[in-house]
Amino acid sequence: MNFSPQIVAELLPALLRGTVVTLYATAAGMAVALVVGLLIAIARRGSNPVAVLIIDSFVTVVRSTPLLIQLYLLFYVLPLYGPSFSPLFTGILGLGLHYSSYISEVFRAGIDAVPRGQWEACIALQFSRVKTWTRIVLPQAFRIVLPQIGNYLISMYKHASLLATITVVELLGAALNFAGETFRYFEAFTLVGIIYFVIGFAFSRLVRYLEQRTTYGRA
Amino acid sequence: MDHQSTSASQAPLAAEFVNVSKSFGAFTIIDDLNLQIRPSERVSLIGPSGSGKTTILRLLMTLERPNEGEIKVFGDVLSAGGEGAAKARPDREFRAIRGKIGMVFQQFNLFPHMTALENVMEAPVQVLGTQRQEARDLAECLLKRVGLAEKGASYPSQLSGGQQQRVAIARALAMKPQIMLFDEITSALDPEVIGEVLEVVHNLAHETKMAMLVVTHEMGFARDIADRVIFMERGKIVEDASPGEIFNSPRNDRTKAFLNAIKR
Ligand SMILES: Nc1ncnc2c1ncn2[C@@H]1O[C@H](COP(=O)(O)OP(=O)(O)OP(=O)(O)O)[C@@H](O)[C@H]1O
Ligand SMILES: [Mg+2]
Repeated sequence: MNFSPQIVAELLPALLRGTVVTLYATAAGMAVALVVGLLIAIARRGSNPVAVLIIDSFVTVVRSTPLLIQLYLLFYVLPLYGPSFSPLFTGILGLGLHYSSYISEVFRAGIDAVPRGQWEACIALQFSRVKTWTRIVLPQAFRIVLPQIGNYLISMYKHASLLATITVVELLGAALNFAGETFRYFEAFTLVGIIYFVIGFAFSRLVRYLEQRTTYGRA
Repeated sequence: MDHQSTSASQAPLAAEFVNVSKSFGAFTIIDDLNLQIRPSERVSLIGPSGSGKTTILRLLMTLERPNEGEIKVFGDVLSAGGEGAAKARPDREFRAIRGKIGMVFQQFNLFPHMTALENVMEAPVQVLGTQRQEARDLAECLLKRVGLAEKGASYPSQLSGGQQQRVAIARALAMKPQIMLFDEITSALDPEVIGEVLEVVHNLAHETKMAMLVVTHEMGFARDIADRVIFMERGKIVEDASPGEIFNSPRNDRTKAFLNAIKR
């Protein structure tokens, strides 16, 4: 079988559209994961035992089941009993909630890594609780966890290919559609692999760069 | 020190511990302590390791709560243990009382993600609502006062320990406390920079009217800075007298033993 430039030219626009969808789903999914993960991490430090139990159960269930099953549940089962969302929205929600269970742990460790003296300095300077979190603790915790968040971003980017199974035409979905219509699996999957690699490689370089600059004042 | 009973009736004490006890688990660290600090008074707190000096400062800063007794600041109850703990005050009121106290820590506890200038500006801007420009002017003035006018743009990681501690002093001063607590502020420093930090505190003692409660293992400093020196052991005050008395002619045998042990 030959690698046909003509086929590639036909294929490329669809794959690029799919790439945009993949990147969008990754970015939005990460936004959801960061917000929910942070809320989980903060709520877990609280003293409300019911809230802690609910959150722990959520985290345990989400971590112990495959993302693919979670996506199916959200997409095929949830609409039978509750709201139904567009495939892309469902995918973003699934990715975000799934990763929030991991990212909450990352945040927890990051918050714990902020020395106790920082909290005490805040008390001595009369900071409110909110200011203590927003001005002192979280900025330092973010800095600590940034490389790990970056690794989860790469992982989520690859995981976003599962959205093809709930009819989202992201990068893999675009390749599957094209291959299904033309039977040019060779070009479709070679090209899709190259695109995944190029972007993933760029991401991983970025993460490595972030890992290297974790001290303040050395920019 | 007998004039205290007469003058105390007019001006309220800056800080007062009334029968305060603090224990961690089974260990009583502060044992039924009574302590009075007058406005503008400079008090050195000395004693062996583990005697409870830091705990006294932490109680006053509300980093710890007493199990028993009452701590008052300028006549208002700051915190109380036992039955008194029940009558918690509104947050705003509590913070107004606590706001009269500032603290400098052994480990500096500067904010590493902010420059020296931002460290000093942060609390006035975020807590007091001071305008940024005004806070910046104040911070520059305070950094100058601790001899760091040139270092405003440096991050803590770019400063020596002595410089970091001086930034921490400026940061605490920015909140204009009336009682300043110093907890072994030179213990984490290299010997060659201890002098510059102590000098800053000496200048403060001359230039301001803040009350100061100083915990230190530097006996020369404890003597020179203070109007009054308190020697404590096992959570109790053993001797409370003028620096001259404590260091030249201590009455208590345990004070003598401690000072002798330190000299060698
Ligand atoms: N949070 C805590 N939990 C348990 N024990 C504590 C705690 N804080 C202090 N202690 C204990 O209380 C005792 C007194 O501590 P404190 O730090 O007040 O002593 P100190 O006089 O400042 O001693 P040093 O000169 O070593 O700083 C010590 O034995 C210490 O181990
Ligand atoms: Mg101590």
